[in-house]
Amino acid sequence: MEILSISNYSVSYDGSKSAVDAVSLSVSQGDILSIVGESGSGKSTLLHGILGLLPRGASARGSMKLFGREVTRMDERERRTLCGSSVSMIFQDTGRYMNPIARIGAQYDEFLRIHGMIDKRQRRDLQREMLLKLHLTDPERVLSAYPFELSGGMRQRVGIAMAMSLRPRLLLADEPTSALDVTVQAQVIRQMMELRASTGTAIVLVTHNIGVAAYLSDRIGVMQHGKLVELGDTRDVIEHPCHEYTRGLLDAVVEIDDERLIASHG
Amino acid sequence: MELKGLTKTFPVGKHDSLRAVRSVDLTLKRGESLGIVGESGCGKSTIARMVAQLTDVSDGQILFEGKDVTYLPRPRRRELWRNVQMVFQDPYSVFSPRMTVGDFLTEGLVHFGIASRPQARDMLPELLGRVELPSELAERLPHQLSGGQQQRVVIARALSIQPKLLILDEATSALDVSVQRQILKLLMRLKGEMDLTMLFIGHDLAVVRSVTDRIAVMYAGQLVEELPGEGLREQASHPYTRRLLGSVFSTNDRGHKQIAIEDLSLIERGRKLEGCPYQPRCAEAQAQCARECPKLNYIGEGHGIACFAREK
Repeated sequence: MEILSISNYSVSYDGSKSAVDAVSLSVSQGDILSIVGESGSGKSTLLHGILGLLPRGASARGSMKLFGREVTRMDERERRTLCGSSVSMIFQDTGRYMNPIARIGAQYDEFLRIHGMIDKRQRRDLQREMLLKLHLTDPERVLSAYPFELSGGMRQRVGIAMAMSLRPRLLLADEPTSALDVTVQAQVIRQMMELRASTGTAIVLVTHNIGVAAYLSDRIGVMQHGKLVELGDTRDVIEHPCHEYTRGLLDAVVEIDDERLIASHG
Repeated sequence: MELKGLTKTFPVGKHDSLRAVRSVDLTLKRGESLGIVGESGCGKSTIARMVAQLTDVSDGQILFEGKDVTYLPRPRRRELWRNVQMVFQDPYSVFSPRMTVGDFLTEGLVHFGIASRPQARDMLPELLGRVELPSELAERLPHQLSGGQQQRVVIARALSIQPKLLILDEATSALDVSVQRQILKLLMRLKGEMDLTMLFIGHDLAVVRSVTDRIAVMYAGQLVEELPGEGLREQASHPYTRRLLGSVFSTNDRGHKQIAIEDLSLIERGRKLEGCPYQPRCAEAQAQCARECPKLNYIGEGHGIACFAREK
């Protein structure tokens, strides 16, 4: 089933050159698609456009359909109902979007209530269940903590737990592991794969880390200067990149025991 | 450069303290490039800052060319800075926004009395050329340069006074992969040409390995393993080093690697312990690990490990 369908979608700021330039792609249920590219390539703008979260002054053209409905034609109310329940988003630093002076539990509870979960006990049970699922073995401690009392990795897990609570059909992730330590990054990635396996959630991941994209995703899209220059199965893109830019990007990745770099210092 | 039992503690509140660096011994020989790798809060940057006299040492010693430089009075610090230069992660924060690249580059030469202002000006094309930048850039302002160009200028400035030791703290971490690769190549070229001694600090094992001869792995303020760069993949033996290696995502091993799930709340517990800080996370932990902290023990040529379970 098609969850997201983008065709000929462009975003520009104040009439200057396009940040996103005529991108077309689609995502089906259970798909994991990674969008890679360097800073300024438009990958984050594209992702934000999916939820209509473009900054002021940006104008979008083309079609962006969520579950068959045109995003630009949704009214505020419809879009809000969709956000958080059918579509969730996680950011690079989830902690920054939390209220610093409210306990995690209170914020989590409010989030569930707003999205229509009326029963208090049900809300409480779901919070604990999700935190345990994300391997935070002491949910009570996490829920009674303020955001600053948790490490970045734990906050990110809480963010993912919240984002996944209502079993969204689409998870949008904008550099979700870039601010994390490498061992914690590996954990979060494993978690996202588990969630896809258990709920069939489709994931669109924006990352600059090509190794992560290669590990996690079924398909990879490569963006450069706002254009989607390559899109294909992960294996094809990594092993037989068609576009010159993709080849350059793959060449630039530093691998452990990178012969070409090490050779240069003997 | 020699570090002996180097320790840094920060006071936390009135009665508590945080051991950011716990009794670290490290040696850096002339012309060698040493990497320190570890995750945030492991103390790697604190070591760099202590070596560069940007923060006080709580305990232990720093020897530079055999001389004790642990507690230098202010005027003598300048002498040390003549020989030890540092490059940070964010190049733009180092610039003064209204100073041209040329002024920025020549400041060190003039400050240390190596050249007069006009002499230093004449050296600009050479300084810029060394980092593969055109001499026209001298008239530009920092915000007119790309991030990669800015970092090249910062490196050129650090090298302008020909320091004996160059410290790079996450110097390529904020750059796009293609720019990062160019800077790493540049560093390797300069190291060969200028016989530089380098201390390269980073969190990316692959990047650190690519520019260093030896690697020191830190965890929660402690040096847990030290080994030659070429042995990293095969010889790395500390459970934490193995986990770090297992957390590197290469484009070659897509989908094949198994990631063992961990309880993240355990990570924070380690630092407060008397024993090995990695013990709460460690699958091989023994009773001894909780009581005592293992010391770095050399098990092979240049290969040291601080682990009770693995040193036998």
